[in-house]
Amino acid sequence: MRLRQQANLKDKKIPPHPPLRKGGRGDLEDHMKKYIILFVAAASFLAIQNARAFDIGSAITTAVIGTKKLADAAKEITPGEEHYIGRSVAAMVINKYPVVVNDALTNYVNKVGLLVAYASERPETYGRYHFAVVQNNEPNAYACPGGFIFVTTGLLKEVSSEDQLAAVLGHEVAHVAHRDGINAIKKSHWTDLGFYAAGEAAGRFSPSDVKELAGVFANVVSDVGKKVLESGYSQSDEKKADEAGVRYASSAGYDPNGIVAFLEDEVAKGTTGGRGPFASHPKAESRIKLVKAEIEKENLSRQVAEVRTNRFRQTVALK
Amino acid sequence: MRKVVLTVPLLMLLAASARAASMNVQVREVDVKSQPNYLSSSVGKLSYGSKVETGEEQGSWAKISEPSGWISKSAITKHSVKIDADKKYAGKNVSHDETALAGKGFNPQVEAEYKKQNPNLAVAFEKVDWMEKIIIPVPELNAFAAAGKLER
Repeated sequence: MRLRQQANLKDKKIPPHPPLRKGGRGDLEDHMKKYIILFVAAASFLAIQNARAFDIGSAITTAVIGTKKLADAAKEITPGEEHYIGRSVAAMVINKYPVVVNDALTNYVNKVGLLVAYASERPETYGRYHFAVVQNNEPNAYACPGGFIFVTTGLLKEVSSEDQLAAVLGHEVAHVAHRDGINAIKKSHWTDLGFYAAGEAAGRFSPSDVKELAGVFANVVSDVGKKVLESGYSQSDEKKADEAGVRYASSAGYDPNGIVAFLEDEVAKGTTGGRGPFASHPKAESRIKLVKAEIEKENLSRQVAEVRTNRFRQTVALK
Repeated sequence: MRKVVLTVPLLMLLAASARAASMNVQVREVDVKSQPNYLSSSVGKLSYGSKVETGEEQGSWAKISEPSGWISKSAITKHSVKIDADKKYAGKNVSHDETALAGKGFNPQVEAEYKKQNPNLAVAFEKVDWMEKIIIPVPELNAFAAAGKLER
């Protein structure tokens, strides 16, 4: 707006100087006009200079604030935003693998999962943790931002106790707590979001803003969805999740050695080690070594109560 | 001696005030607990945007005065949180926010547009709503932990 005013001032044409007439009232008027024209010209010049100075200063200020806001926005996605990204990624998972609607099984998995999540360093997400079973014969689990966690029917067939399930869920909770999904968002898409953060001042977006923002949202959801469903997290993220997962399970009262037994079974069956659903995970042998070291170092072992294994068999047999 | 008697409480007061902080609830809803433990009883609930004054801390918990109890530090932030006064989108889905998120980025308004652009995900989103409605009450979770002989 200011730039437009400045352009108008610049374009403003000074009327041509009238021919001077010697003597009489006309000369005086001409002199007066001359001074007035000079005065207007000088005033216009000063106004333009001031306008320039003001606009440049303002532009620098705006740019600095804008950059700061952009940087602030780029480095932080709020728990609320994470929740909405997570909902859409969860919808992608369910769209690919239908959810198993079985109240007893779902409640059971939620109870084990919540006990472990409450023992994590991030027990509260915006919309809380929610767990479900999806129909997929491959043994796998998916952690979506905000706390939407899925285990496959294939995984439940491989897991043999509640303590093992708790350790597996602990690993997935760690991905949520560490915001590994959010970290999968490409920098360019993250920056797009920053522009909206910097530009948005009112409480709500206009319809056209919403359409554009939905496009940015789709890119972000796609980035995270690909990470969750296809490429998997980095080996470094997996190692950190392994370490944290056994700590959470142990704090909740479960014996984290369950995941060691689970991984040893997987090694025996040849389902790990660089192919299949565990392709994204570090090779099982090195995971076992790492997890065992963490359990020993932190003294995480707990008693396995038979009652837990029994209820696991009874409930999971319902699937 | 008198100086010491006066100085010590003053220092304690200063230390206490230094710990106290004004924070905002950054999650949809959070239980305030009677003890710094998830399985302890709830003394009340706070919703997104509520302001709290935190005092003593124990691990991942902070003590608050209103309501008097403990809150998980992961539920609060020192950053300001915006609340949208327009409840239009909040009212559309019971599983969604009581107060729609405003401010930067992604919110129910954007999700609604994304859903409109991806009608193939409609059924899946219904299942996500179903997942969010599954709430395990704390007493039930306590009973489950006790029946499983979980030693914490």
